[in-house]
Amino acid sequence: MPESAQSKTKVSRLSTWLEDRTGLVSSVRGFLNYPVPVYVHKNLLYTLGGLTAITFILQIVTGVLLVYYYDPSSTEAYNSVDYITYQVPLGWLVRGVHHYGSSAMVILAALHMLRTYFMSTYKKPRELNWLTGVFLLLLVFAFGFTGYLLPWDQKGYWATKVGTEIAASVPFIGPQIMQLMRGGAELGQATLTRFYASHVMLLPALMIVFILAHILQLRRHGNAPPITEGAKKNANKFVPFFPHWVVTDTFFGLALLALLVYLSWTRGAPLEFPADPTSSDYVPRPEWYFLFLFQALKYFPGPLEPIASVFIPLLIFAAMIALPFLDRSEERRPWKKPITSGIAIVLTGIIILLTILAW
Amino acid sequence: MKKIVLLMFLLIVFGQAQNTLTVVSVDEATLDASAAFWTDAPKLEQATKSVFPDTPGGPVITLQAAYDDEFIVFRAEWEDATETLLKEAWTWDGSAWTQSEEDEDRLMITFPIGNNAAFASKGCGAACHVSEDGTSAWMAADSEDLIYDNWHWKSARTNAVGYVDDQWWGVKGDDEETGRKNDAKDSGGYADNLTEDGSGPAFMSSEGTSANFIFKGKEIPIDTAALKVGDRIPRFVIERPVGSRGDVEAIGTWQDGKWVLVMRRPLTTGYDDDVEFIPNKPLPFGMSVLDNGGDANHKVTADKLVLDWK
Repeated sequence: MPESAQSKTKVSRLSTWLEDRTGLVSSVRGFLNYPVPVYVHKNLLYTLGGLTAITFILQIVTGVLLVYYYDPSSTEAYNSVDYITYQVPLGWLVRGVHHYGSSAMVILAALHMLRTYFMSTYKKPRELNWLTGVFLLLLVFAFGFTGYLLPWDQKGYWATKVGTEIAASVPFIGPQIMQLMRGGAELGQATLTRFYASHVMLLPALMIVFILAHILQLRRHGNAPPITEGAKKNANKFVPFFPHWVVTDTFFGLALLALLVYLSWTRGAPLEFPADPTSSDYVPRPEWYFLFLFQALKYFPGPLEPIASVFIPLLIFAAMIALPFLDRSEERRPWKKPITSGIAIVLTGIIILLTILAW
Repeated sequence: MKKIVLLMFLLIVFGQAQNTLTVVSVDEATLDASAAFWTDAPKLEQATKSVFPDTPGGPVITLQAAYDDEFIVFRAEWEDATETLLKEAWTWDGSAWTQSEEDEDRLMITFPIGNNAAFASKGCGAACHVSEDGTSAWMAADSEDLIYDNWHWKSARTNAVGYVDDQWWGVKGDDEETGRKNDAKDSGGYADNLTEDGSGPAFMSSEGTSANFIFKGKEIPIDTAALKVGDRIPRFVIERPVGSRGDVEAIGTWQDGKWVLVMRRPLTTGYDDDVEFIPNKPLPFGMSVLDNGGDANHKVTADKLVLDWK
């Protein structure tokens, strides 16, 4: 028997052995052979979800590498990040990809959400898919919020101080929320420990659970039917997930990685000077993806602050949760749904405008 | 109360705004004030203020910086009407020596060694301390784990032998006037030119009484019989130190009412009492200038200064 045939037989026997005991082989085969509609495969907007997942994997890989060097103590956190950035071989690259990857995740998750919204793919029977998506978006923001404190630099310290003070403005339970986030009255070691634990343990675990739930929902119900006439012609044509979809996502994933490497190379991940709690003139500014909220707070000064900091975000969140249960019509074409489309366009426009104003 | 007023004044003096000096990458960071790369190197212009209330400010300092694979070089320029080359020189009155109160021109640049949150957010004010009665101030670290690298260029004691007195600030000891200490050296440096009884200079320059400097190896015993009334003898015998204290090279030139000073040091020296320059890593720093020395003439830059890299 030729050598190649012999090794094939060995692989086959190993595969059978594994399948008999775990069922893993058929599960993977089923996952890879999943039929993807051609109208989905040909539409690049459908790569946004996969790219968000790829970015999350990049964040996990770079995050694990960073954890090897990061020291989560308020006295050494800054020095360890400084060491990663300026001393560890390729540390600047790992930290840069992680930093810009977080922004990429926000953008991709938001665009994926908008695509889902405008194509009304949240409708029955995909309500749970939408809801897991809403929670995933919240988790992405939570990653950002907990992540930028970790370097313990001026920006992270003061932005977190302001952020936790905003949380304290929640009526009735605000002070308790702030206490829970900070682990005390002031920002300190307890805060850093809590943010670090959330960032590297709680949030990744929740993220993985919700991503799995999201993907399982997608696989259970499949992609939503096409809404354009052109796509409808290909409604019954399919390609297997592997290699077609995998190749597409890999291509765009590599392009994204190249972009993140380029940004790390040319701009580097920012690291301000170490946190000085006694600083009297530092003007706190959050990461760009919270700037809209930062700007909105300016229009609701003093006792009105909770309107911008709590009520409006809660209202948007509640509306996103309720959306699939409120919008129950059969119509999915955005140009035939002026109210829902209009609300999203106006809201997105306001967020972009506020972000630009605060930039 | 006096102390509080002076402290508040110092906080104002050591201001709030941040100004950035961009260090540019060059092929060879030479110790040459006329090097072509200075034409394109960004300039940081900093006004200076007195550390004491109701005292006039000092000159504007123009600072530039460049680096290569091995060195960082700074070029500073500031107006000074007089070139002072003698510090507390001895003057012969025909029978005895008297010592002048004249001090020297100086420039200081201070960098925190390691990451220092307070210095980064407050500038030199983070290291400024005020006496109980509020009449004097000094620079020192607040705790043992904070150290500052202090480059102290002196027109009388260091410039002629081509170096900047490399010092550091630590915690002020009970018997010390400031927290300023000297970097370690193996040999060399300037030394008092003093007889054993302290009544006058022990040596003069082999180049005669008109020499502004007595270089080590060129000092000769003084024959008072050959002196004229009014002859002046430098107070120091100078030599460039070997070791950390002498590792910042310098050439300072005074011309037409202006000092132009270039200072160069390896990016990394390996000494614990020296700041490490890491290209791309921003570094806060502070600066001051003294015309004829002394506390009253100590003028500091008001803004928080940051070294950044291009």
